[in-house]
Amino acid sequence: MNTFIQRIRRLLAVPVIVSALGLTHAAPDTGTESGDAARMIVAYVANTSPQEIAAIEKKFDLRLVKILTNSQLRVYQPSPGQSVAETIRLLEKEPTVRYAEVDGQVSIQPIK
Amino acid sequence: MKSIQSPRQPRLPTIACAFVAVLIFFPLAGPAMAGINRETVTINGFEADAETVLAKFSTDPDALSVNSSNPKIARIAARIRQVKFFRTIRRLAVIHLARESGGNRAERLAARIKELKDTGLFAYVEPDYIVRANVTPSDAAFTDGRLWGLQNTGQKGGTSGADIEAVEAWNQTTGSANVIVGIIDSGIRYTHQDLEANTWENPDEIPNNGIDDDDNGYIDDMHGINAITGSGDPMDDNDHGSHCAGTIGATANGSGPHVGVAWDVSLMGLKFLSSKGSGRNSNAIECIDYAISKGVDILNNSWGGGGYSQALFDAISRAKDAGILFVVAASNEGTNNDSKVRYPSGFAVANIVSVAAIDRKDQLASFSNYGATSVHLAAPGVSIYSCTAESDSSYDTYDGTSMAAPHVSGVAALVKAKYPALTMAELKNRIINNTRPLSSLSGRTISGGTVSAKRALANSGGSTPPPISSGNTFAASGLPKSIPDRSTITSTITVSGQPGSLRLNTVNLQLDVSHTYVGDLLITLQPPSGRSITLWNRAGKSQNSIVIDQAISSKRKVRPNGQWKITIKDKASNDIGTLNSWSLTFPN
Repeated sequence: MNTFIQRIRRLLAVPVIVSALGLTHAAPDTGTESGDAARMIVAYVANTSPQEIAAIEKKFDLRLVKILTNSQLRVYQPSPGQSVAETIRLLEKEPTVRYAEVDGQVSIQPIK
Repeated sequence: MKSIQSPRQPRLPTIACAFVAVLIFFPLAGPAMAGINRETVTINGFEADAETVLAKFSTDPDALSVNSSNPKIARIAARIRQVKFFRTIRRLAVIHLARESGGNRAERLAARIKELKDTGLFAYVEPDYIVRANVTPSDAAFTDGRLWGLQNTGQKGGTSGADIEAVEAWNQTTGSANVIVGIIDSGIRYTHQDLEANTWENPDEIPNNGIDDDDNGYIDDMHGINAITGSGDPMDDNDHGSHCAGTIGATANGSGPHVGVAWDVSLMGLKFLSSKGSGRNSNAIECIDYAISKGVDILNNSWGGGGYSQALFDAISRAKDAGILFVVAASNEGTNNDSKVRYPSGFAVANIVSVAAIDRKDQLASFSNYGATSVHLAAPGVSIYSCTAESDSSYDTYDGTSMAAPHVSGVAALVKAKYPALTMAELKNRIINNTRPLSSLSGRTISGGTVSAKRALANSGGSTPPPISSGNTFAASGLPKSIPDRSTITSTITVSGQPGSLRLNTVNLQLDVSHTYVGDLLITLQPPSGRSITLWNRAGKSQNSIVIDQAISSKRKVRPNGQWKITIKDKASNDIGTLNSWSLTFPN
């Protein structure tokens, strides 16, 4: 019974959280398979409130890809038409942003 | 005066000599073989029984007269439990020592041997060395010589002995399912005939019930995760991860033709590389965090190519704090990592082991990166046979430092199985400080050698190897430095070659201070420009050390080139300490 309730709670929790954060755009995590869309990792200053994060996301029209809960990091795609580099430059001026960086690509390394 | 009884006079002593408590005539035909549960120690570099020694009496025991008032004899007699004579070898006995607790067992055994020798009763006294028949697997790829990295007898033009000395190691241990190795890669084919039995199973998850039983955000994550899809299914769709997994821990003796370095191990699939073999730092970070949450011991990382990432650096540092060894391929450009840093192998984090590749002739592979200050050691990485993901019985032969790193991860798994109490640092030291030296690696790796399972198991770790020194890490010299009571000390680092300005939070600070009461300390860092930053302000109370390994917590821009100064003020009486080390790592 508990498990069932937990599951329902979890199913409900995702849209509630997304709604609370004011995220109207959510981008899927495509790995690097489709389109290799540029994206960025953002670390907020400790104790930044959800409302402050939501305000940043709204201000820059960021598209949330995923939240790395244990790392307290968020992965975004930039607003359509905006470059990752420019978005990172602007984000780093925000006092609540500890750092922002390109979500770099890595690979197995073929022998040349 | 009391007599010592001879084995040829099988009678129990009425007043047994103080030395020989009990005589049992035992038909020993040769040196004792290792029992399954005997406690052993390493003495003179070899494994020996911790509680028995071999001793040959100078004269027939029945002819001896022993004065028990001799203090040397009295002292050792109290520490003997039993003496068993060989029936066929005159005067030779196995002396069973009384069990003692505490202290170093090897040192204790050496002391007892000396005490026995000092009695003057023996022609010789020596450790009861453990001998075993060689343990070798029956798997076809091992017996037909395909797995040269495990045993190289000179097959296919190779050099005999150019291997990881696995056979000698398997005499010590073949691994343990208690050791978890996470493979951050393209996943693993956990249904493969040579991997299935050694695949990690999540004890907190019920398979295939569609429920996130352990409430960690992944449903049915029985064998790991897929960070690309956010699912609990790390099935491999590329081959690369399964190949690495097979080298680390393919099952032995019959499940298929392959056998890994560790016969028994738990292999966790952490998929973040796509079917095309590429992936994102963020997904690698997700894998690292999952591994930390599940108590992984070793992480294998046969990937790279991205630039410096603070987020990835922080994740690897968290893994370090969790005691996880982070084994990384050195990359395949055939270039010097000292000159151009490769990530993640070049991150200056203490848990990283960077691995180059050698061929079957003990030569550095032409494609392998190297680095006298940035690559720790080498391992077999050319013509490596292992599992692939096409089917449950598919295999292939690959080249790359990607194939070398799993050999090191496998050796680490063996060492951790044999010595489960080792810390991550001790495990790393054992592997790096006990390589097989090669002239081809001299000046090209930190250790100058290639990984040896036998030596890593036989010898202790020794001193801590130097940390990776990338072109962007600057360490303070002239340390350690004392911090006298109620005084101020400073230490400086001169930085050069960096861009004109950067944000402080892109610089990683490593600081190690020991002190009898860190609550006395105020520590500040003065960059070359701007105001100073407070790193520690009388926190921690009676805690005995301050260890910082993280990005500087300030977004302020500074000029990096010039003198950086740490100032430590001891602001209260009665306690002293030491500044052990500090360094700064700048982004590439």
